[in-house]
Amino acid sequence: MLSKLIKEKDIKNLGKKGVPYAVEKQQLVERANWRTFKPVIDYSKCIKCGLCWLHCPDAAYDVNEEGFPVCNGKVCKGCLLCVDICPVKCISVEQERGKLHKK
Amino acid sequence: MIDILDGNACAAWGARRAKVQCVPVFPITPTTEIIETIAAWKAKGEFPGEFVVLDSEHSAASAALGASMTGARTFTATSSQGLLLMHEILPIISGCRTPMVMTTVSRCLSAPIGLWPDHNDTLAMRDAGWIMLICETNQEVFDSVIMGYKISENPKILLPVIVNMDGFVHSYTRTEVDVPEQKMVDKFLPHPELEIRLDVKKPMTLGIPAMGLDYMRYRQQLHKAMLDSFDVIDKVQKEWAKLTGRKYEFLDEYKTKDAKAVIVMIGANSTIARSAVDTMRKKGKKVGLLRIRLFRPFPEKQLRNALEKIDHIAVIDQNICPGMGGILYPEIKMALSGTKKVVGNYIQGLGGNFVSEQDYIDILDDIMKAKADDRKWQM
Amino acid sequence: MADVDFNIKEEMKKPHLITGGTFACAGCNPVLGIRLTLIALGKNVIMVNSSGCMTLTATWPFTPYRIPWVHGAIENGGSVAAGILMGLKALKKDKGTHVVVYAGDGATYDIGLQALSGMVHRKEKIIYICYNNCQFANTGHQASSATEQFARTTTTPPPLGNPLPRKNMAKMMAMGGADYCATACVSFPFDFIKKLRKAAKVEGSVFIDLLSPCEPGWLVKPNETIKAGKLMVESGMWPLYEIEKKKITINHKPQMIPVKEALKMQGRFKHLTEEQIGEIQETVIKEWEMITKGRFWEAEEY
Repeated sequence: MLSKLIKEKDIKNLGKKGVPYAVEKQQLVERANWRTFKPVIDYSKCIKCGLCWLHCPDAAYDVNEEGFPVCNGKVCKGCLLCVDICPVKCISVEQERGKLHKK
Repeated sequence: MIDILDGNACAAWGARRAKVQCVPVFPITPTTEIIETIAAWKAKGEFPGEFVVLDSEHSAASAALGASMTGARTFTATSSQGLLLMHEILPIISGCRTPMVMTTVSRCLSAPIGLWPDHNDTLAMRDAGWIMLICETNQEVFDSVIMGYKISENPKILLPVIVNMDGFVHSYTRTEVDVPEQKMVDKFLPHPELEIRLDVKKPMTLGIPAMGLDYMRYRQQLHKAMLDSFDVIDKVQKEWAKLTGRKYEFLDEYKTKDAKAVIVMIGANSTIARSAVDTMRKKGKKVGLLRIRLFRPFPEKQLRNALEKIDHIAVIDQNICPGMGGILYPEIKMALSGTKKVVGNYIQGLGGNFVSEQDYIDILDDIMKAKADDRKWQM
Repeated sequence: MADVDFNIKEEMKKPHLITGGTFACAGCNPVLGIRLTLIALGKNVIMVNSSGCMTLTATWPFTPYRIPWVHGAIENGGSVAAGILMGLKALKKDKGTHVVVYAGDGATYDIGLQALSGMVHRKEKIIYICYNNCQFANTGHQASSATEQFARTTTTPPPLGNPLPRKNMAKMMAMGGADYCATACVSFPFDFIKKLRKAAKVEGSVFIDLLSPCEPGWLVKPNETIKAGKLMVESGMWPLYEIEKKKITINHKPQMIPVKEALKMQGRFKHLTEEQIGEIQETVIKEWEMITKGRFWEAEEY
């Protein structure tokens, strides 16, 4: 997009919108394209301790009606902190992109 | 009520009559008496607002930012080195579009360290995005603080205001001042209602980072708000004139209608210049004085109109921008660009160097004879 | 976990007060620290941020915060918070609202020390949390006065590393007038949450030094940040304690694993010689003896 030349007298005062502030936006910014790996929970082993929910820096875990944590694929960055913190090791790692890595 | 008050007391009374709610400050000569006065009132229970002396002027400006963002009416005051220390925060306050009034008491800058007035400190803030009102009398200081809140809190403007006075000449000199009753000021100045603020009931993210074109748009809006404030300032000044009978304009034109030579200046020394103009008029010389009261936003059009028929103009700068000249000079020249006038620059009064009526008479004589632009130092 | 009045199952039902989608690195512990702070304190929080990595979590028009948040400049976290507290008191809205400063170690230990010291001295009811990743992370991992001795940063590259030992801010603030000072670590979230809930009830200034490992600064993998913090605590290099008006409580007795294990895991200590590691180990052991034998104020932590 090329720049335009705007006359000063044509600038409009946007009132509130001219103040640098932000409020809650309905659409979360997606960070899914940061991931190489993705965490996958084996719900048969999950004990609903909540440690994965607590340790996620991006608040990517929501809780469903049964109390199980569910990973929000839109914001998960694939840091895999949840994999290491799980006390029963029920979270496995799935590779989403890139050359196949030896783990 | 009519009282005999010095400039510092006037600023303090302005804050009191405006029912200021937060006063974060730090002492510096010659501002200190403003905060001492408010502290004494607080101790006696006459001042209901919050008063905190912080650890530096930088912290005082930061606290003013925080306090004002919650929606409380905020006031602070400083001078010279303190004002320069605050300079990091002043663009943040105006960039966040937070209303407040700050009284700056002009004092010369270090080094060499001095205590007496000149305008280098206040004029250094001209890029910070604050509305600037530069006063001539103690009465004007009081009136400007109250008008400043009305201008600043206007929802279309939301810009902070600097009300400037000269150290020692205003701040420690007592004159007769009319301080209107609280009820009268209450009618003029309603309670502040800030829409974009810090409130747990309506969470907002303020002072948010912005990149590229978004950033440029915000700065453009800041400039636009400054340009739009001409109308608001005019309305507020007219409203105050109706209430109190004291008229204020962007430019204080004194006997300029048929003048052949005019002094253009700011600040307290205008009173002495006025007296010089009167003396010369008695001798039949057609001279005048133009005092700029509203410095930011810069009243370019009004200046150009006021000086239309005058061909010899002396711009007096009680400041120096080393390597360039006086600070007011290029701004006046810009307003008069394309015209064929003789505009001279006179540097005087740095560090509070005493200026007498004869000095102004000499300047006016000098500019009348001048055939080309020049810069002279009066020492 | 038993002595904490923190029911994780209840907390999991509440909405997120800071959402995902920020620019923070994957595995960033400072942003996890913000999340833990808001879980502990709830939604009646006004957060002040000092310039640093956490500033860019919000970029117009996106904000992850569901609480009021404000950014001033780098060195005035304490002062802006003092101003906000003044404004809330003037508007009579200060009961039940917590003013929290979340500033990095660079903005606290160095440039922002004046504002913090003033705030603590005036005993303002503000909770100041310093997220300590031991460097000026946002500008590219330069050394700050919170950087440990021998650490590698871009301004203290190997073989010398950082020549100076770090400051101890929790002790400094305790002597400066803070009513509650504590050290914490993101790797010990329940301890941190407990300290925050205690801090919320203090009628005075609170300073919490939160060790938050930084994945690109400490040169660890994204999923190893929590482990790196745990090892720093368990080796004795980052003691966890509280100072309540000069009364000291040691919150966690470390297992005293060899410091070599904790240091070698981080890329920023890979260049350490055996001699240097030995020096650190001696300091840590000596200092723990002093802390546990009643000579807490004399102990110079690593």
